[in-house]
Amino acid sequence: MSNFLNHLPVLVIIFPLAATLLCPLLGHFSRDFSKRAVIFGLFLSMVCAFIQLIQVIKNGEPIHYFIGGWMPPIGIEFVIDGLNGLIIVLVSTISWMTSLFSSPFELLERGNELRSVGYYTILCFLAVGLLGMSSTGDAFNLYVFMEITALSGYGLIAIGEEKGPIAAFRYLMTGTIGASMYLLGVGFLYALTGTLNMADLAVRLADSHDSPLIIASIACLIIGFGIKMALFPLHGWQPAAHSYAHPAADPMIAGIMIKIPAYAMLRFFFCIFDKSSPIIETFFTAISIMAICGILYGSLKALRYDTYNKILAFSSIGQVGYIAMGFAIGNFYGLIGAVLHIVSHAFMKVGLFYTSAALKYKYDIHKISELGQVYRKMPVTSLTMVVCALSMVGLPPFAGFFSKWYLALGAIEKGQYIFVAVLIVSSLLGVIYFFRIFENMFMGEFNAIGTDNPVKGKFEVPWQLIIPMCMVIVAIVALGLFNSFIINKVLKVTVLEVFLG
Amino acid sequence: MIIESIGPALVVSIPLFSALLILFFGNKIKPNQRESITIIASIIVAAIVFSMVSEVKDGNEYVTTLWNIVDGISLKLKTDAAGMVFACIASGLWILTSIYSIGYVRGHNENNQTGYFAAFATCIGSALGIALAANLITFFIFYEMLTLATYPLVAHYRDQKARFSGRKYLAYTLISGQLFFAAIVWVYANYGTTEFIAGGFIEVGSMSKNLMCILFFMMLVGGAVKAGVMPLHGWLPSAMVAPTPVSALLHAVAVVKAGAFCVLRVVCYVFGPKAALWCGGAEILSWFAIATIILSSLVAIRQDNLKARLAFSTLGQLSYIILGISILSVYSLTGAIYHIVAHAFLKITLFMAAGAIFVHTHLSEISTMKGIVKRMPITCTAFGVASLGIAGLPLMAGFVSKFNIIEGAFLNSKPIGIAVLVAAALLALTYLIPVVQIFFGKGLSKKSHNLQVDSLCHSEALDASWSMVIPLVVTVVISIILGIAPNAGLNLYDLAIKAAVSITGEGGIFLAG
Amino acid sequence: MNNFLIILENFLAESGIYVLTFILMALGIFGMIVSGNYMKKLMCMNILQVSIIFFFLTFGQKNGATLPVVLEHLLGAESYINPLPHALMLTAIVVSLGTTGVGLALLMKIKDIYGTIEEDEITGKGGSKNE
Repeated sequence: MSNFLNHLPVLVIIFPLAATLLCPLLGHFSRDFSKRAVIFGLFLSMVCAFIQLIQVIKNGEPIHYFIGGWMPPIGIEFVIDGLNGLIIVLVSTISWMTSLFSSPFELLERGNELRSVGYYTILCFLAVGLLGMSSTGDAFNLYVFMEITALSGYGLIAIGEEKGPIAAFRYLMTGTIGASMYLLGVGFLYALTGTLNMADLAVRLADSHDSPLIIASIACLIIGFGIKMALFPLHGWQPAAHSYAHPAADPMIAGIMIKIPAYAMLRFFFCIFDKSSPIIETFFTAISIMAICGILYGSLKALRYDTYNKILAFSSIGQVGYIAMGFAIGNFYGLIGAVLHIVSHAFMKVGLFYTSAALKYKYDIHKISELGQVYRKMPVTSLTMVVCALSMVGLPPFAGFFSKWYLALGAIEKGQYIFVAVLIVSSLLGVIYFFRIFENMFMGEFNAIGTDNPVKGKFEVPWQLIIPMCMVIVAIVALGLFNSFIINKVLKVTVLEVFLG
Repeated sequence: MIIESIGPALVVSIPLFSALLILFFGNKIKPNQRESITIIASIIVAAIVFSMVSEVKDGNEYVTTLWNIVDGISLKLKTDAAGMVFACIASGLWILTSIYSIGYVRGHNENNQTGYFAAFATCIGSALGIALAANLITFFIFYEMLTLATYPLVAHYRDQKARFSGRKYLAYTLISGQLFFAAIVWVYANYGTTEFIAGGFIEVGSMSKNLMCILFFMMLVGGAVKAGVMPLHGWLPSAMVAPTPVSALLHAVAVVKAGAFCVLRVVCYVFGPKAALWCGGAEILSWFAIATIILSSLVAIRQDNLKARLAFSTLGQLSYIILGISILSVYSLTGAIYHIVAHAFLKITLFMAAGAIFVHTHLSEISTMKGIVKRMPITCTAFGVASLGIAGLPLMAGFVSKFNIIEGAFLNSKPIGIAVLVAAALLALTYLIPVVQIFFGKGLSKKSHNLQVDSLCHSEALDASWSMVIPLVVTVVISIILGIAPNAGLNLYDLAIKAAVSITGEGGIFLAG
Repeated sequence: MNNFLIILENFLAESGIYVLTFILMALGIFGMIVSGNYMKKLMCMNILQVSIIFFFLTFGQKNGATLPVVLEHLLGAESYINPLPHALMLTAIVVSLGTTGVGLALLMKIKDIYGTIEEDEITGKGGSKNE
């Protein structure tokens, strides 16, 4: 048993990785086998992630896991502290939910068996990439996992709607520039220090924080992470990619694929670099400007569209701005706000894209003008949508409000009143575009033009769709009401000691 | 003394829980069963609230401290005197409005009854939460919940007009809510606490005068919008498209009272009399209140739609409360808090009467209602009595509160306040008494007669259905009893005095010179 | 002539190689932005990736050092070039191979759907259809 516990950090990744490899093999025998293998693998990963988080909380110190027994800085190290323990739980939970959520969708696929098997393989591989990105303590390893994530993401976008391949190709172009920039930034750091281990980097960079190489490196890293997390003005790929991806995989892509780079950025900027140096301050100013512009731009653009996914995609640009704003604020509450927003926005966006997929599944609804009276036919979906949207707007008692609270608190403590103003304006814009959806849904005329996809069972959509949606609702309410537990038990130590210590 | 109890938590959670029950099972069970959930919940809540009154009157507080809702601030509910007054009103009137609602929505065959009752229960739950909240963040959570729960009620009919007024309502309340939010964050960042303390926790001189004045109004705007202080009142008249029990709820019980209560909490429990006077905010607020009282009365005279006239009357009456708060003396505060009670009973009577008339005869314009007393004697009598009460006639509840406010203004040497209050009482007579006159006028006007014949609904019955008449008779009787003996029943007057004294301190009368 | 070669060698050994790498990188990005043909974009993307790989490899180099492989007898650490960048770049090459593969597959798919891989034609065709 203790042996098993010792290997948790890698088990979290091994299970889905094994499922990824088994999936195409099993697919030769039965499509159901491969599907179940993926769902089961991700489920095991989720269980491990939870146990691991509990271990971290109980021990009160980070878990260091050396891959293959090689000690850092030579070997690759996984470091699990409270923060990324939480992120890993988030990723594995959402991956499992999404794999479950996807299972009814293959019935709609026009393609052959391979397509469904391929879908599961890629989905699981995406989870592997994201879990790896959140676990690793090695800068180059992060690059590899980032590319695994991106490659699987391209695939999932390409098998989506008709415009999927174009969106995927554009994302591939931009994403590769981003990854290359990241690699270049890491290259500079390696040239300067001769190490790639993050903790080691932090130690060796301590006395050389104004070297020109560092400046170049930070600039490259900001561009790299900025592209990956769709931070304004590097978001060009994002709206199309999020709108045209496969409906069942969209929650993963839109929900967490842009959050994990944000987490990685937090790691880099607060663990590795010395945040008190004037250069970093300057870069944070730049990030804060990007964040403010992004928040306003995303919210304003979202007002223009009638396509549900487009609205959600642009709203994501704004919400990523919130996270970046938290980094730029950079004090305890600012970072807490950013981390909470990573988690809560992941759930909200995942929930909203679940509803989008459910609407497509049942009625083939893509536009909000077609939503009229849908709530009578799809109560659970509508409830999910309402909860997630209210949380996005930042109304209590849902999770979004509390991350906004911490961001605003951090901003005021730092004397950055403009951030508070931006938060308020963006919330109000959010009210406009989400209540436009509500008005259409609750007060519009019933005109679901698509075919009513008949569903067996008690609910409006198959239970595999209902369970993830209900989990999202529970998560959003729980994250809202019990956020101080998460902060005190999980995040406080990490944020205070590792990031601000 | 502080009594740890789950009472306050139960009071808040039972309505919210019943709302969930209604929402999930409302369409699967019979309407009678669904409504019985509401009635049972309302009776339980009222019983719990009323049972706590006597201890609160003796100076004890029931406190429920739940978990930390944000880092450093807990979700905390307590029953101080002022909160108790509001909680008594909200929970007591919930029973009556639910009975009335049942009569109304059935008599009128409303759509979406399940959603309606669920939103109604949520509204009451959040109003109770507002009443019992012990700190700003708890307060704000319920405040926003109230905003959201009211939206479906305002937009109940789901037509173009309802959409528009729903939008207007959201625009006003959410923008002000966001400013309120920013102000709360600001207060917490600067003072490290959000706990309501009678007399306030913001110290004079802790920030510059102008800055504190800005903070004062950022906090107040949340309450002022809900209380309909001009020029932030725009949403209230257009929210009149909602069903009448909703208007009754909006105007008499939950929303506007929550607004007034928010002003009370901010001025007296966050800033406190000293800081509010020092930064000059109270003075400005009192001018806004005075302007609203006069202007709303003048506008009300010109309204022909009965509900619209009552809406503008509400604006004026609410500003009495705000004027009483901004004068900041013991008497005026007592009057202001007690006016929450008095106005609740009086205005809810008027709205219920208006709704009963609408359901029974399908009339909404005052000019068509001539001689309607013959069709609906009880309703019209109740309306007449309540109108006199609103005008502040002695022996009615409205008199007690207004007299106190005037006394406070007198002792604080604010002649303008006295003049305004007297003028407003006369204006109230000018806009409500003509209505009563028309009701009791001779002969049905031709138009209304025709309409009555056409209407299929209870056209033969002498008055509206019992479930609508009984509540409004009860409220009007209570408002007379409270006028004769302000302390009757729940000792609400004593509670109001207690709250006022706790805010100003013992020598509070002379504090604001 | 010989002199010139020495100067060139020195230049390249010090900073010139980096300058060249960055020129290559800039070319790659420039091409990705400017060219209208998706295939060309993909090729430029490869150029970009190769430039990054060069960059890593160059700072692993040392004058007069040899491969980090034990041939006959073990030399001092200073006589070997740094093997780590090479190892890293092996991975990076694999990644770039993967990216290119996915890119090519996507291009085939795009060609199937739109019948072309020219950006102008595609946006002209599909731009107004689905908005």
